[in-house]
Amino acid sequence: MAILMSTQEHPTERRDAPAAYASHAQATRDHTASFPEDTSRTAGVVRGLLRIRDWVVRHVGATIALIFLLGVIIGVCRPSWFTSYGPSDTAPAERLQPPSAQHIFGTDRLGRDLFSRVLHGGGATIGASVLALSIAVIAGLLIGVVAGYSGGATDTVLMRFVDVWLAIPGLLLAITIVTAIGFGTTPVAIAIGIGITPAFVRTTRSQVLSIKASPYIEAATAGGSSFWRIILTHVLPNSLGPVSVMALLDFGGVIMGVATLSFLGFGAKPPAPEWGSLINDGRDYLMTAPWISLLPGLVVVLTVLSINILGRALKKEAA
Amino acid sequence: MRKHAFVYMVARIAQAVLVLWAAYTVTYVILNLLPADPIALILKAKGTDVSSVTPAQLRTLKQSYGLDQGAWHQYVTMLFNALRGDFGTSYTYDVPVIKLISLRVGSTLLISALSIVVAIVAAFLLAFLAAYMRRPFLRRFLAALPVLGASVPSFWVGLLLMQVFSFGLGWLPSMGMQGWKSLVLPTITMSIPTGALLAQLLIGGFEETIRSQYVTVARAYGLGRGRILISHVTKNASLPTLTILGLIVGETVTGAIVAETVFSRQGLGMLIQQSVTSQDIPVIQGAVVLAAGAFVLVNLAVDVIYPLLDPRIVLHSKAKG
Repeated sequence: MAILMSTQEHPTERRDAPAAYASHAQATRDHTASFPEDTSRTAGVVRGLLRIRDWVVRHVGATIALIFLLGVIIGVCRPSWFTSYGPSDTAPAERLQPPSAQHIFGTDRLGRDLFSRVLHGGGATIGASVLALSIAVIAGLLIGVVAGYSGGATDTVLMRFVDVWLAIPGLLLAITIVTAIGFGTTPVAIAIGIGITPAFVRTTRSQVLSIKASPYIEAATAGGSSFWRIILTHVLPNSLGPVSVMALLDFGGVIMGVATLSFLGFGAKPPAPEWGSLINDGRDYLMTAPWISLLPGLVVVLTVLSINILGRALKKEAA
Repeated sequence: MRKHAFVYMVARIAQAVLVLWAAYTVTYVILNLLPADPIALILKAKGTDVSSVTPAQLRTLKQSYGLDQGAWHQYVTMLFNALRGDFGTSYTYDVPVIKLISLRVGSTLLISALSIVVAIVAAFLLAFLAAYMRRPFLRRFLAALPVLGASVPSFWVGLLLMQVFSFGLGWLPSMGMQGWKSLVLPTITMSIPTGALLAQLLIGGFEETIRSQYVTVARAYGLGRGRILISHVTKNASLPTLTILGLIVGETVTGAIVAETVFSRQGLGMLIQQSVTSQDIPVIQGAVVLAAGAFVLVNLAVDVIYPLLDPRIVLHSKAKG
């Protein structure tokens, strides 16, 4: 019965398409309304699929971005599924070849397959970006919660310190730190993470301040909960939401920051591929073999753009 | 009222000085206390190794860079020197840092100023057009442009422009700093991230202002769409962008590092890039403090000017105090 209903539902739904187009919210309500008493599993699945289809129709750009990002993540995690070339396999006879069916991104000055290098380099760059974001989120939560919840002198001192931290442009601070701790993928990640932390401190703190004023904290205090118990069970979980939205919105920027430092030559040592250094490698061949710089760069652009589109869509959805 | 404003100004300037001092201290701690052995860095910058230097030479070297004192003593001496504009001597070039920076800062200031002007003009044009257009498709397309601009790394944009306009079409030079033509590509490269930042804020501001009551009133009086946008919306919607001016200055400094590296311009940005590569600590310290100084000054200026431009701010603070 449920199957019968669901198959009948599709044609009618399609015929009603122009009407549903006018208001998607209306459309969503219609699906749930068309199965008022049916609670069987098939109906649930169909309802879920219809809801996904609605989301896709409303967010075409975000869906394409999501699919592209999933492709990038799989490609970066399992490069061998997509290419049979190693990132450091040199082939002098096939140097500086333009993109072809054999080498879809072409080859570089040593005949290395660029597509393979982009996939392997993506692991380093995206991994470093995740590390940088983790540093910023954890440090931001720690300092923000302490400053916001303690208030008074602790808050003032910490926030003045954050003001100073913000007075040095993020990427310049990262460059300063890299100068001190040395070059490489991990130092770059640490430096970028420290560079973007102050913004996370501010977001967490303002969130904590509003949580602190809410009745359930008063209730918990009146109920005799300890300072740490309140922080761990009430303040932290409730400030996590806005901070993770911010982390997602910042992710694209962090990838660009990591790639920029790598492009400037502060990342991993030469043979190891990284998105930024790959683009830098092709600079000398820009006139004769522009694909060496431009194609890996295009992957960076599309990745960052997809993350930004997805982040904005999710932010709108949350708001 | 006058007195109140004066006290506010003094407090604000004192705060700016304090932030600048703290920024100096933070960079000092990062650059001078984190590396294990500054002498090794100096020797490396000069192309030699610690093992090839006699102890006596090592002592004179330490003395000439002021490294023979304790950390605290070093810090106080360097801070007082910095107040007089002396940021020490470059490890690689063996000339005073301030001289190096002042030699190179001119061309960087030029492309930075140009890029900020281009960014502001482009952002206003985009926001205005997006608000003026009636077709939702065009509107959405224009509003999406800043997102794209914020997603392209500027070093890639620079290389793309170089490939198209220098190597492909042969219109503009790909490197060097001779003539106005060499300014075009670096300026465009630097203006894209700042322009995208500004445009995103402006487009939001325009949309919000158009919904306000005084725009409805203006429309009720029968004013045209373009007229309302120019005389009512633009001013009110653009004021908030002043608050991100400091952020834009910061973006421009890092933009200059990338653009000058890509287009081989001997400016401050390239000096920073080279100094990091050779770990020339005094130069980086000087450059960072300079950038932080610019940021602090711009923010100070914005805080002082903002109430003059937007009377609502003054009313608000009067109501509070």
